[in-house]
Amino acid sequence: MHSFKIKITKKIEPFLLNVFIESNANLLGLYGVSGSGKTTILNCMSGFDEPDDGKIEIDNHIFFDHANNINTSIEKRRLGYVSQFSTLFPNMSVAKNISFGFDHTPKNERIYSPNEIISFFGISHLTDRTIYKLSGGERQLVALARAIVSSPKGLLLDEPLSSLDSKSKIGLIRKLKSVNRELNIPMVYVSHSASEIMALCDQVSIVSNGTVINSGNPSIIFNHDDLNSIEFENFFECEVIDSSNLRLAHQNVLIANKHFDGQSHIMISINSSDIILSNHHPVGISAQNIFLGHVIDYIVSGNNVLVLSDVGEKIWSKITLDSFKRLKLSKSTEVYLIIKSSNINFQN
Amino acid sequence: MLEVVILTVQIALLATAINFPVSLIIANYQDKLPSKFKFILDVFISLPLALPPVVTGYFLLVIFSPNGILGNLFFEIFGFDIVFTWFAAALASALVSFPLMVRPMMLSFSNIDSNLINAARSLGANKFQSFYKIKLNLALPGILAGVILGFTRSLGEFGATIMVAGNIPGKTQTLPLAIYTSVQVGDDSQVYLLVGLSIGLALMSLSVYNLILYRYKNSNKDI
Repeated sequence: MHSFKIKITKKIEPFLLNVFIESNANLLGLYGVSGSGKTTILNCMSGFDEPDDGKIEIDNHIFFDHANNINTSIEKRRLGYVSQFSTLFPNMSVAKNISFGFDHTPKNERIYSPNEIISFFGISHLTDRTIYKLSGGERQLVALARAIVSSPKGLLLDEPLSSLDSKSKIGLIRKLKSVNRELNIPMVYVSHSASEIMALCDQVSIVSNGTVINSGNPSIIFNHDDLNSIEFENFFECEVIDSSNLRLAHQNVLIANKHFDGQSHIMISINSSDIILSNHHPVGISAQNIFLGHVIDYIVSGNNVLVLSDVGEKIWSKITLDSFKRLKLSKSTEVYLIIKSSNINFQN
Repeated sequence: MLEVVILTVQIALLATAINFPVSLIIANYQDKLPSKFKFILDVFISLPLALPPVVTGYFLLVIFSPNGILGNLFFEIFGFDIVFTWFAAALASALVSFPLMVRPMMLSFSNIDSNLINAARSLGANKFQSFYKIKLNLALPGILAGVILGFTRSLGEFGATIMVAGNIPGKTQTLPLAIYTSVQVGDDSQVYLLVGLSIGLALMSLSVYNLILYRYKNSNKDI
């Protein structure tokens, strides 16, 4: 668990950014629509922008404190930054990009070597390439690896998945989860995607018009405005049993035959609209995955209802209000979730 | 003949050396200027392109003549007059060729994504390291283009040079001035030779530029 204390006041058009976030989280999310001020918060944390007032502290490292005249320079903050745009250096190979951070880290502060991180991310086959020969997902993986090689005191992630296709997105989410779990680096993740925040973050602050309007656990904090307008994607890490079976929270998941290259775990995603709900065990249907669970929450908005069910893992399904009424669903109701194998998406 | 070529190259090199640091500083800091100042700067930078070189030379003559503001100051400090010297020719060449050197550099620097510099600094590089390892490297084609364009323009400078440095054989007579004199006296064989040398120098400069650019592109392709 890491501690984040972020108090920032800064005049930005068209509003005053005035946020206070105090959170103990492994991975802190900042959620908000475009233009709400979340990227400015990240820029103030990294040192790219200077707040008019406030204090920025992660795990007892004070990076900015207006009252005590502390404003650590960007290079001395050692906060890795990965944005939605590629910031890989085009004049260097992938290997040189990754070692750039290592070369500029004081020797006594180096924790990871480039080779360790290249192997951790499984990108050794990319190291000799120019950045022009990388896909969008590979670029973000390399950018993340480069940031980690600099042994950062924290990672600031500004919508790193927003320009990726769904397969690359699933792969990067898995990597981010393992970075957070295995390397124990405090991370701040900025996104306008509730799915991503819920897949990654254990705490979230919702930013609107330059202020934090709510903070807490993502699955509790999001309301129908946040969830209704989107195609909500469920992300899960599954254990690989064989080429057509995965295990997800003690449930067996049947998939179309797929070769996993000896991986023990794999990231999958299921769109909330691709899940059928039933209040009876279905018979005589083609779909192969039928999970029994119970409804733990639901959000009604307009003609749609997002239903949160617990089948060992929490899964969001999106159904129409008519179906919701017809099935007589309410909290604690038993429900069967039906998922076609072809609707399970995999990482690249 | 050789004396003319050496003097021409010497003047062009000094003009390039004068312009290079100024161009680099302007190109690097242009984005930090308020847009109003940047507009004014753009106009002044381009002025020698729009003015007839003779007019540019006339202004230099007024300023650097023994009674001019800078001419007087120069005499006080160094003890000699600057006008009608090869140094005056270099100043004239520098002024006329300045827009051709600075504009490609400005374009090249302004095309560099500032996020790359921020990324370099977030990885531990200080301002100077991020400048020379990232910015300077990425702007290299534009810097080279500016230097070569400025240098070749200096080789061919005529109007401003004749105003402020005159056409003194062995002292301020450059290739274009020598061609002009040879045409005036009707020495055709001398004209052909000088024109040939002029073309040769220009081709050599542009070839060096293309060679360096080709190697730069290839080295980036191979990484």
